[in-house]
Parts: sequence; C-alpha cells; structure tokens
Amino acid sequence: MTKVAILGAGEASRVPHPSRTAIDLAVEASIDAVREADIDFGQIDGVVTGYSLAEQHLDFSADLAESLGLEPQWSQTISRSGATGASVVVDAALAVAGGACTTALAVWADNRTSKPPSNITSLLAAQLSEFETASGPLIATQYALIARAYMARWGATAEDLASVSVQFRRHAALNVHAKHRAPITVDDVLASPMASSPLHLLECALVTDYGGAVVVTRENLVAQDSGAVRLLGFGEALSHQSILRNPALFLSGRTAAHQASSRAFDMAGMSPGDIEMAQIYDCFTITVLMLLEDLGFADRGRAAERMRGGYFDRDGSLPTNTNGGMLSNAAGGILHVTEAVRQMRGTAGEHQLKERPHTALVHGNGGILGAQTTLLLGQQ
Amino acid sequence: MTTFGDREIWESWGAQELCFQGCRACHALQHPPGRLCSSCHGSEFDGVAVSGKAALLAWSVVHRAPSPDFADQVPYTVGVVELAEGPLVEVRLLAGKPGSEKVGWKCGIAVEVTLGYVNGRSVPVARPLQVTTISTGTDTELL
Repeated sequence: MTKVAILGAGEASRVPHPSRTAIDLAVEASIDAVREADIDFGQIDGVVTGYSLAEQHLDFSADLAESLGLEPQWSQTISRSGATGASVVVDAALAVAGGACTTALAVWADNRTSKPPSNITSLLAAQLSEFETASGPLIATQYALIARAYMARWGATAEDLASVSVQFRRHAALNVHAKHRAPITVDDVLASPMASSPLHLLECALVTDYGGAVVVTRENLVAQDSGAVRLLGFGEALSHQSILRNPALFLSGRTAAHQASSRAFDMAGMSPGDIEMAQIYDCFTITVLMLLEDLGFADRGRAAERMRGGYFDRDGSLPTNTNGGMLSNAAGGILHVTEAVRQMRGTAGEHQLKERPHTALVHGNGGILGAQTTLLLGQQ
Repeated sequence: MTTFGDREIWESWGAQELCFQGCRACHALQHPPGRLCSSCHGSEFDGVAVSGKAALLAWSVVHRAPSPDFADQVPYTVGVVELAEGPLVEVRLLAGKPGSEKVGWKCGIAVEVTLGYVNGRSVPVARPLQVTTISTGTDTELL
C-alpha cells in the first residue's frame, strides 16, 4: 500500500457557548490542523468526517467542506459510534493510498455541551436493541455487566477499576485544556454516585463539546524535516452490535480489539513491545482494562495491577492517555488521535512527555465493545 | 424469508410463551433475532420454546433511569443470563419467592427465566433458584 503520513493535528477549544455548532468545532479543529501541518487549504482535496449526535446533517463532510471553502474530489461522512475518531484516519489513509485524493482532512466534532440534544440519553440508547432496552439498562449498564463478569473471572476489585480514573486524572492535571484537573483518589471514585453497579459516575466518560482534525497525505510528498507522523499500520474489526450476540465478552473477557490490533501489528511488522505510548478509548474504566489486555499491553486480568503500579503513567513504561482521556479531559475519540500526533511531534504543550515517543498505538472502541479500530504511528 | 422474527417473539412473550428464534436449517437459537442465521445463514426460522433454565453471567443495579418510563423503578437490577439452550438474554432480575427478602447475586448462580411485566410489557425476568448465601465478596451485592 502507498505509505501515508499525518502532517499535523488540530483541536477545537472546548469552552461551551450556546451558539456554538458542531460545524464551528469542526472548522476550528480543521484550521488548527492545517496550520500545524503548515500547508495551504488549497492542497486539501479530500474530507472525511464523523457524525454529530447534537445536530442533524445529511452529510456532515459536505457542510464542513463548504464552510472551509473546499471542493474536494473525495468526501464522506462515516458513523462507527465511538470508534469513529480512529476510523476517520483509516478511511482518509485508504483514500490517499488508493488515489481517490492526495491530501485529506479527517475530522470529528460535536457540540454535546453547547447544544445538548434534549433526548441524548435515548439517542445513545438507540444503539441497543429493543430486546436489551426492555429491562431498563443504561449504556453504562451494558459495560457494567461486562465489568461484573470480568471482576468475577479475574478477581478484580472496585479499587482496581477506580485506579484507571485516578491515573488519567493525574495526566489531566498537567493538561490546561482538560475539563477536570484536580487530583482524585480511589476513595473519591468509589464515593461518587453509582451509575450502574459496579460503575460509579467517576468511571464514566465526560459529556463535553469536542473537535479534532488531522491532515493525512502521501508519505512521499512529505518534507524530511516536517515532523510528520507515519501511519505504520491499522486494523479494524466488528464482532457484534448486541452484547448478547458475543458471549466471549462475559466468558473469556476478550473483545475484537485483539483482532484489530493484530492486523495493525502485522501490517507494521511490529509487536506491543515496540510501542512507546498508547491512547486508548476510555468511555468507562472497564473498557481500558479489557482493551489494554486485548492490545497486548498486559496479561489477562492483570491490567489493573500494572495501572496501579504506574506502568501507564506519563513517567512509566507505557504512557497512556496522556491528556487525561475521555474520563478527565474531554469526550470524543478523535482526541486520542490528535493527542498521539502532538506528543510525537512535540507540540503537546504543558503536558508534553519528557521524551518524545517514536511509536504510538491509538485505539478506538465503538458500540458496547463491538467496533474496534487500531492505528500504529511512528516517527524517526 | 424470516418466519419468526422480532414481531413474533414479542407476540409469543405477550402470550406468556418464552420463545426464541430457532433456525429451521441448523436448529441454532439466536438472540436478539436476525434476518439470517449467524451459524449457517439460513433464512427460515421457527419459534422455539425454552426451559427457562439458565446461569447468571452478570448483573448490575441501575441507579439512574435511562428514560422517564423507568424513573419510579430505580434502583432495579438488570442481568445477562445464558439459557441452557444457548442464547444470552437480558433480563430484569427479581428477588426469590415472596418471603426471601434479601438475595445476594453472584455470577454463575442458577436462575429460572420466566416472563414478567416491566412498563406493562411482558419481558424475560429471572429469579434465583435458591437464595444464595450472602457474602461480602467482590461479585455479590444486596438487592
């Protein structure tokens, strides 16, 4: 496959304002990304965006392209629930590598705080079948059920799960843009109200505005000293829509993240031991523990032990969710992508890692652990 | 064509028959129902009554209502059970027979799945076959 690279990443500011639209956030992130990429908008001939829950757009990419004054030769809007942030990068890479366009913007934005849809809970619950919703679960309940089985199987404790929130809050403390920066303890997490047992509110992702964008182009067009990040590999997998169709979630604790990441590692000729930084979709604490194990960063049932031992700390062996993640920084899986690119380019600001990582894994998760997307990034 | 799908399942449950979608070709049961069989991609299905014998795979106490319909019910307990016949089913968990005031849920315990009413609709519910010893372990919680 033609090799592709990410020239730069951009993020929208996240101060809610009642007049702010999802397109506003997408535009702001796009301008930021193009500026960091140090190219002209005239060079953009492809646009791929995610979906908005807060606003209705028949084709979000068309509305964004027009706002930016673009007439791209390739454009599309994709919807892959939470995995959309990582998957817009895959789609941009496929379009560039396949010759559909040369330089693509990959964007995902939504104004879930500035203009929250009145029925956001039911919009999110629409991803569940009627056979699930009839008994009254939240989205959090579906994850909580999987967490319960994981805890029973591996002897994991409430404190183990809470340690994920505590670790990512430590990272958010240094991120000036993070929504929540004050340090928290395991006791704080366990004292927060229960959403759906065993998951407490401080174990659930934030609901915020978000906007993130990256510029994807052919690697052979990239200048040597541009600081571009190479896309070394990617992989996707979809195991189920309803958790009831995938007994492995309860019986072995495995998700399709294992298949997605295996494909990415095979494409890149790499293994988990080659990775210097990870950005993992963290909609709930349990998601992180299970994905870390599926991705090969901890043995089965042992991710919490590593979490509590500082393995995933910014000063640890594998800095993970260095911006505070969705648990403390902001919603939107696209920010896992932008954070990875910025850390590798050394443009993360106050929370820049002391040693710029040369390799990174970004992982997106959608639905209830059904849609999985892995990106592997590298830089000289 | 689908001969026993979403609508037929709800109708059977409404008639107090605990039926699931069974593939006419390979006899696999699947839930939630689909248009093709996930085992053999067959397209014809029958309603298959199940025994109600099941194991509790997981449970969660819901503290915040997903919609106003459930507001006056919280907290309540939702579970996923594995039927003896194979499929996984999401159920409302109910305490044991009248008189058994407290039940400690635990992953793996045997439960009996029947039909009961949630928001006026007949849906699968499950009760423990016997009152489980209440422990303070990590995977039990008082209802």
